[in-house]
Amino acid sequence: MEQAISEHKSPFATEPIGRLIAKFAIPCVISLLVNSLYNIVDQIFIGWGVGYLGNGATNVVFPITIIALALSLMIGDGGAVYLSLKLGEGNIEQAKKGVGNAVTMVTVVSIVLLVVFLIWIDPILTLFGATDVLRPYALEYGTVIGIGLPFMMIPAALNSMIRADGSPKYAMFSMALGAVINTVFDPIFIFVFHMGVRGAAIATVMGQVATFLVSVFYLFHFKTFRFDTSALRLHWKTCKKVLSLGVSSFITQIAITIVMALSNNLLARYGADSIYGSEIPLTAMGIVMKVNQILISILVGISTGAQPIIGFNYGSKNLTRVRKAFDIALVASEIVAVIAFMIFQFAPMRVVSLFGSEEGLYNEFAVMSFRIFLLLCPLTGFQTVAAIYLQAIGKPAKSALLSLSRQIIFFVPAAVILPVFMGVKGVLWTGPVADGLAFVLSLALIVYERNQLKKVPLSE
Amino acid sequence: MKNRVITISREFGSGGRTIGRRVAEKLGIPCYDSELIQQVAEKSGFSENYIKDAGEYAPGGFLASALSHRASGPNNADYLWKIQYNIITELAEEGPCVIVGRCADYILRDKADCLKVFIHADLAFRVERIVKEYGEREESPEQRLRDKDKRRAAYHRFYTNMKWGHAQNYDLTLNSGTLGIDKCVEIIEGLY
Repeated sequence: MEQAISEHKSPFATEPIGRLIAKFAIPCVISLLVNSLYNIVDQIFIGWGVGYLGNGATNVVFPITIIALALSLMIGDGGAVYLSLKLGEGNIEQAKKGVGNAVTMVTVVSIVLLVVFLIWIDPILTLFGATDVLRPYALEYGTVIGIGLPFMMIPAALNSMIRADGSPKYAMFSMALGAVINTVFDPIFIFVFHMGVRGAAIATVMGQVATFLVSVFYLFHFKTFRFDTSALRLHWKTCKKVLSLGVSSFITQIAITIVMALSNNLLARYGADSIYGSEIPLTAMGIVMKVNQILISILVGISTGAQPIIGFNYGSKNLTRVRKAFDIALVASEIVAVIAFMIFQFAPMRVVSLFGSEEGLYNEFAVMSFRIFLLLCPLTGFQTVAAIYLQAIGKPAKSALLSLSRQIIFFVPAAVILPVFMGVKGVLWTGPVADGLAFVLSLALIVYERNQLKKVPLSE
Repeated sequence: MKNRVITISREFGSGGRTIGRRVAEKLGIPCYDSELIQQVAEKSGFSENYIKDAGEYAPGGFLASALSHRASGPNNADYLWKIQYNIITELAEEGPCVIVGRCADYILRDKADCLKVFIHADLAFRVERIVKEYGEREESPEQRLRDKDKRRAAYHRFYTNMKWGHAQNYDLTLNSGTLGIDKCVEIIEGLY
């Protein structure tokens, strides 16, 4: 992206919009997909090798992974922007310091998190919805994942900075390597050595260690500066800046955790009063959310690819191209979302059966979850494009409001209120209610902004 | 030998730009303001109108700029900052000059022999000036002043890590409301 804009006649201004979006969106989609597939692969093997209780246990541990990821992305994305800002100023020394400080911070944070998690593993798992039946599995899985936290967090942070250093392919390779190792060892540990959920966790950590080694190797081979250990010494002002640049990445991720922890708890509580019990809803929804994460990855990837194109053309006041980029991103997103919608509505059992075969009650609830919770998923396409559009035209506050609206502002109250009247099904209806309301909000904001676009601002 | 450069930071409506231009005229050195914007526009491909706003003002406030989604890399404002940074550095290397706004005080702190000036004035003075200079708008002039200053301060704080308008960051701060624009010009000229 960097290079593309800095050429004199920017391709953002001249190349066909469709081709541009494809060029920028595809790498984004791939790297986001690798991330979400990482989680799903574990689920599939556990589903077949251990059963749905195993999957329920991973769902309880999942929020911890997300919190860890949120922290490392805040540090890593912040470090990446800091790096590129300082490189732009020609301040190599400060750029190096930013990267070094980010590495120290993420290392310290990951070790603190590991210690906190392992000491208080029991209450933490309860907080994220562990029931008595799931607890033994969750402890087994969670302990290994906990030990692996530094190996997950350090490369996650480094990867953003490796991309900013101009090596996006290297970053993608190191992620993919971990995912492949995980996929290879999952079945070996689960089916050959019968190690259960612990085996799945060990395979995951092995993949993470591989990614860790590959990214730490890069640290000493940064293209834009020669790394040395003096850069690791923490410098308060630099740390503060790095963190403030990364805070939006943190908020997005943490919103996911809140949603998961809350819905896990509600599913367990209201599920206990239903014929399904606590564990079936917990596991089924975990799968729904992770499958939905694939859809979200694609949608976010498309929009993220379109962001610099919309941003640049907005800046050069080429409003026809702004509208066109918006429209193309929207159409592409909607096509994907509608295909996903059809699968969720008309062939949910196929998706469910990927994660192991279970008895009737489980299947029934899982199918119902896909149909109800993701009922309005086509609207998510519009919402994602809208949020990125607002970001690109320099309305970050509105964009953040939009992103949070679906996950927090509408979701949390709906999730608390609906089950009171509808029981465990109420938790499922939270999805369409939040999606619907968020859609109305994003439509209103977009219509407003597109009207504003017509009035060319006079400068003062 | 570093060039002598005067950087002028200013509250909106305080007359900082006019002061800068007149000081430059008297000293016979260039004053970069709109030329600067033109250069940035040429180099970036952004429109001049956009740069006038985005090159000096953060959207919303500090919190809003922190909320900017940067997972996909630097955004427009970051990109613009880099170009402005380089152009201001180059201009200061070319020869003595006056530069108005755009964090030049921070950018040139080690690169030029800088006289860093901050111009401010009370609200009433600035209200009268902006209505006279830029005409009436939908929002009240007070609202416009508050908004612009807030966004200038946020921009400055975001990219420089320094607080905009704090006396410690400048060599000279002048109240154009009480001193008058002519006197400000005279004082700055006398210090050069």
